[in-house]
Amino acid sequence: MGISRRDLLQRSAGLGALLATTAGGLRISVAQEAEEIRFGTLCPITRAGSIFGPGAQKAMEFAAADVNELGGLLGGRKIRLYSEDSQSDPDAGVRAAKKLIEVNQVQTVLGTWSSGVTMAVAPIVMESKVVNMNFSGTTDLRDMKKDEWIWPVAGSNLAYGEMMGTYAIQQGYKNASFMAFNNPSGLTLGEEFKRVFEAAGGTCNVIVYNPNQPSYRAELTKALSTNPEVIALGSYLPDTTIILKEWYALGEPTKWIGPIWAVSPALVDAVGAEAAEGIVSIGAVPNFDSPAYAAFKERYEKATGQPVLANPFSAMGYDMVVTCALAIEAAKSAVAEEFRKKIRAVASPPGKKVYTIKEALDAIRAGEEIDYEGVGGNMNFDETGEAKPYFGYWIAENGKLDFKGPVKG
Amino acid sequence: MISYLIAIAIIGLIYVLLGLALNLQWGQTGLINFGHVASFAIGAYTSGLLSLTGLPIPLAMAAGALLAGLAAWPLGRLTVTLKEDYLAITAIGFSEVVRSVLENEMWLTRGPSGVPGIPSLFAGLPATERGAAILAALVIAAAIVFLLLERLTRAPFGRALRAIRDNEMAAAALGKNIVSFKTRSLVLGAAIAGLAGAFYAHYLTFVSPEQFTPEVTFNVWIAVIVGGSGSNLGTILGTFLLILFLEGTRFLNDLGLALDGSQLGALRFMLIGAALVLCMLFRPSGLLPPSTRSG
Repeated sequence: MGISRRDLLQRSAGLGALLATTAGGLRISVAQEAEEIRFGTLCPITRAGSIFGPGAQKAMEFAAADVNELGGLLGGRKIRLYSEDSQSDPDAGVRAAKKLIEVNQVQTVLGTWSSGVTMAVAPIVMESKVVNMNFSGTTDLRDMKKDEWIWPVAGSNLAYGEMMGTYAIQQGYKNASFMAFNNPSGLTLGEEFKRVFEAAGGTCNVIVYNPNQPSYRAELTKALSTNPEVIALGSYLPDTTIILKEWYALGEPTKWIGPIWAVSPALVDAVGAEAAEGIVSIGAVPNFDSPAYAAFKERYEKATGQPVLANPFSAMGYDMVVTCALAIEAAKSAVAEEFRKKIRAVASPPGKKVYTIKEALDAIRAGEEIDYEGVGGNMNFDETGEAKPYFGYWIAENGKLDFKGPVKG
Repeated sequence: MISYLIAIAIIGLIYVLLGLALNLQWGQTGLINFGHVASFAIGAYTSGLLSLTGLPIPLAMAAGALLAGLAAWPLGRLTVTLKEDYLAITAIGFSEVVRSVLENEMWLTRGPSGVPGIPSLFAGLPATERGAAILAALVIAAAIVFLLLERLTRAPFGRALRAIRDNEMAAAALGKNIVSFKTRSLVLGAAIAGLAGAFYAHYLTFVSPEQFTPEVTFNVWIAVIVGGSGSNLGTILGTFLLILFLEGTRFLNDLGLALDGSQLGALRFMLIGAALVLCMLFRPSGLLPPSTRSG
């Protein structure tokens, strides 16, 4: 190899400078006062989840600021958030989680989204003794042994499938097709929708399609071949856009129901008012009954310019931080291994229902048992350690997705 | 901190193995393999699934590398007679076929849910020591692969590969069996990528089709091109630089840039892109291009 010494020096100088700056950054991050309680957030800031991630992270920042404004936890310790981007990708998510846990020494990794990311991060948080709360709905997560380390709060795909099926039955539909994106989310939605729908006496034909196709004409034709009154979707935004445009071009009448992450205002914009007219969206909604909801809504919408109903994960993100904070106060410990055992206790019945952080902290300090009801949901964790959100429905009318009201199970 | 560096070094070394493999195929032989991730995926899934059936991990890993190599053989036989750009398209097709199989053959791969609970290498050790042990194993594996490839590069076999790369017609006229040389280069590279996949599976303990997107292929390409196509040392340097860009930018906020989380996310990708453009502007043949004598 003919590399001269000067060449090598020149080349390594640049690399050395880069290394030095990175190392400087590490030093700064390690030297912090011991008083702070370190929370990590790992929301999908870029790529597929970027419609939700930034808003959820913003709401987590609100919650941490609120707790700190009330004087912090455990007699004055403040929460400090360390935020990373999962890039909606398991591989990048794992590296980011490692960074949060090892470099920032956080006690929580909150807000992972997409089943792949959460499943990949799960073994790491459990082994590192860190609490994870996530927006993932895969049933693998429901079935796994979570040992109070991992808490899904956004409702599993089972809950979504059940609610879509319930809504369809309540509309009096008897004959449905279901178009399922071929991934765990789409397939579970389809199976659960079919189960609920057929249990009520309907018939449902499930068509599974593969992602990233330029056209779904063949699958659409199959779904329409049974003349369904309604086609339900277990899908995402890009594929739903293509499916709806192709359906509109075909001109065959039918109704549509989809989950909120696919049937969103962005979808209505993408396919146009006429094609979208009448399509129903089923989604998690915040806890409208919470006295703290109105203030959260105003604050969130002012800070982000995004309607809170367009991102239910934001309010849930707020609750994640609050629930962990309350568990810390109740456990009298900021160590994840200790306070994870209080998460269920402070958020689920039995106990006095509390809605604000102040109320909750006062009650805990007075030695009362509480049941925190969040702004995003009631945060009641079931026996598998999963919280089910509230659901509502939207209908697209004149190019806008209008919120109509709650769906009762 | 130390565990984080170990984690990054492990991912880095897995990418080094992938880079060395691609450097053999592209840098030495001139094969435009845009389906590199397929071999990586085959290695990861084979080793992961076999170890779940109770096969000892070292054997499962060997099987992963072997199968990745074997899977590349028909690709080689079918396509190396094609001109470079056609091979590139066929290779992308091959990698998409592999990903489709992973997504759809539920009975074998659990489809898009992925395979959780793959036994970890050195599972008996506590977390940090285990990371260090995996890292040590990877360093040894990468060193062996590196020395083997360096040896190969200097041997008549390597010279023949470069002759084919530079002028296929002339090499054929000198009596070299082009198809055989190209296939061997492709298969050996694929087996190395399969080994990288096996390490990946037994390190993360979870594999899903989402992890084997074409993006992996192109990250490796970036590392090889930035480092210097044809040079093994350059490939290693390029890989470390890529990981440094990808991971180092996470620390921007700690350097006093008080950015909003979402701004930082977006800014990171702009910086990574800009850094790569600058590398190419100032070092068009890579940071450590092969010297004219050996290249």
